[in-house]
Order: sequence, then C-alpha cells, then structure tokens
Amino acid sequence: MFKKEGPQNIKNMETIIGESVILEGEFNGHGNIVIEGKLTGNLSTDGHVLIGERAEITANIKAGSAFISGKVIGNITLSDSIDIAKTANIQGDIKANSIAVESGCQINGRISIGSKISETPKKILKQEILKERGE
Amino acid sequence: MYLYIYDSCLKDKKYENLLTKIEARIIDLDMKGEVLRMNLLKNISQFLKDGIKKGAHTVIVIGDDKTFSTVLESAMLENIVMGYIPIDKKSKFAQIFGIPYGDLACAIIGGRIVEKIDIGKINNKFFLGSVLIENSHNTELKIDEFKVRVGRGNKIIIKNIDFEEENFSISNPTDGLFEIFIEKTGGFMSKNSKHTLIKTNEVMVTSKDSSIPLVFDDVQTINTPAQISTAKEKLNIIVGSNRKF
Repeated sequence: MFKKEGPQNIKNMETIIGESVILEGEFNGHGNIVIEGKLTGNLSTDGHVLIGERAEITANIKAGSAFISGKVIGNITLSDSIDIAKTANIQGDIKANSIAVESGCQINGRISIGSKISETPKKILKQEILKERGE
Repeated sequence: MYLYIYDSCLKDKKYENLLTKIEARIIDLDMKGEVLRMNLLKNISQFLKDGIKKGAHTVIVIGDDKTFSTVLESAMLENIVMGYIPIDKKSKFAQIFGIPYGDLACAIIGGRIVEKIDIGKINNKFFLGSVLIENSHNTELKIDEFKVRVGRGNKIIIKNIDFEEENFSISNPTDGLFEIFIEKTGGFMSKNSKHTLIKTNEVMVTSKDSSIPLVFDDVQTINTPAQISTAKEKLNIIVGSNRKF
C-alpha cells in the first residue's frame, strides 16, 4: 500500500539537502537522505532516500529504499521498496523489490520489480494500481 | 601542578565574590598552581611552556566560552589537559562538558575525568565549537566528490560541538565529523524553507565573487578560501558526569 512518508520524518534523516542549495557531483552518503533542493550527478546511499515535492534531481539514484514526490531525471535502483507520490515526475528506469504508486504521478521509463522486467511499464503500473485498490 | 588562566574581565568588581569563592575552593581541594591574568601583552603559549617545564599537567581556564577558545590554540600545541571553570551561567561548552558554574566546577576539576574530544582545524588554526558564515555570497562548499552551491541570503554553520537546549540535540564531539547546517535567513519563504544538514570530516569553503569572512568560536575571523577539517589531534578535557556526550 502507498505510504505517505513525507518530510514529517525529517528528524530521523542523517543528510538533508534543503531548497536553498544546489548540489553537484558524486554524492555518496550513508544512512537516510532527504533532498528538497537541486542535485545533479549521482546519488548513492545504503539507507532511505526521500525526494521532496520541490526537488529537481538530474542523477542516477542507488539506495535501499525511496519515497519520490519531486522530479527525477535518471535511473533509480533500489534494493528494497519505492513509493511514488502523485506529484512525482520520473524520467528514467526504476528497479526495486516492491513498488507503491499513487494515482496521478508521471513515469517515463522501464520498471523492474523483483525479478520481473517490464517492457510495457504502463501495464505493470496499471496492475499494481489495481492490486492496491483490491480489484 | 595546575596552571590557571583568568579572563581579563575578572578584574571587574562584579566578579570579586565569585573569584574569592573559586580561589577558596581551589585551596580547599589542594589544587594550587600558577596564575596568568590575560591581557594583550601576556603570552599564553610561553606561560604554558614554562609551566609544563615546571611539571604542570593541566591548564584551567576561568572565564567564558570565548576565553576557553582563546586558550585552546596554545593548549593544543602544548598537548596539555584542559579544565574549565565557567563564569557565565549560559556557557554552551560548560553544558556540553557537564561542568557547573563558578566554584562548583572546582570539584569536577578535582575529580579529573578526562575525555578525548574532536577538534576542528580551519586553515591550521584550532577551533572547538563552530565556524559561522553569517551571510553567504555565492559560496561553494567542496566535500568529497561533490560541491554544494549556496546563494545569497543563507547562514552556514559548521559545527564541531554544539548543544541546543530547545531541541535537546547535540553535535557529537567524538564521532570525528562536523555537521554543516545551511539555513535561509531572508525572504518571506525563509520560515518554511527546510535547512540543509550534511555530515563530513573535511570541507573547502570558497566564494565566487569576493572573499567572505568565517568567524570561528565567536572569537577569530578568517576569510575565504578556508580549509576546514577534523584535526588528527584530540583535546583532552576534564568533564563532569552530567556531560552531554
């Protein structure tokens, strides 16, 4: 089920990139990361990544899990789950163990969940949404 | 043997009673030593060097956090244990070290629990608390393989140790890391804007347009470019059981 893990969990985050800064380059962090600003390059961490609604990411993301509600141009590779909010705009491939998608988000790329690789991301997404709704 | 460094403000009459109590307690606890009363003409490093030759093992600062930071540089170079008798009830360092105000601190000094804590270096000068850039001006922070660009109207604080009573949060002085805080200071959106927090052990601070000042420990100022890192050396400091780390 889609979890609204918004910025209210910010206290547990070890790295926070606020709206007023721009980050460029290879960001190899540890633990949980919140991005509310702009990031260009690559982002990796062993923990959770939270991409805020106003964030603009032009980077490949590697992490344990992620909550995306902003704009991401780049591939997202996660060892665990991804939650995509309705405000998210993702242009890139997604690989994760599980996915939860809120109605209204924009995804343009291939989605690979668990061992499955989708050539038709819209179909998988539709299935996931129907599953979530219990249909 | 102890070395005592008195802040110059202790000459003021308002501290007379407090200083009498502190000195009486020092005698009670048999912690006698040599005294240096700070002024511009006195050389703290030479006082410490001479004291160490005579067998001194500890330097005690009687003053506020600024006094402590002023003595820190010399104490680090001489590798001597530091103690602190705060005369400011709001001293952040005293709260972190678990040292009570005034004469009550003497018992903690006598108890002599010594902890090794992180010290920061800014262009080869030591600092204990934090480095402040009050108003960023196209500032760039280079950390590892990435750059953080900070525009105008932001305050940057690079914290080695700090304690915020409001949030009950402390920058850990034994983790080998700084905490870099960046927060918006101006504009109608600043209250709602989230701050930036990055932990690292090394950062290069530069400014694109012109050199900007970095104030460290509220005492000294250095202009950009500035290399800030965690020093290899540790500060040996006497702490109380109520310390925050």
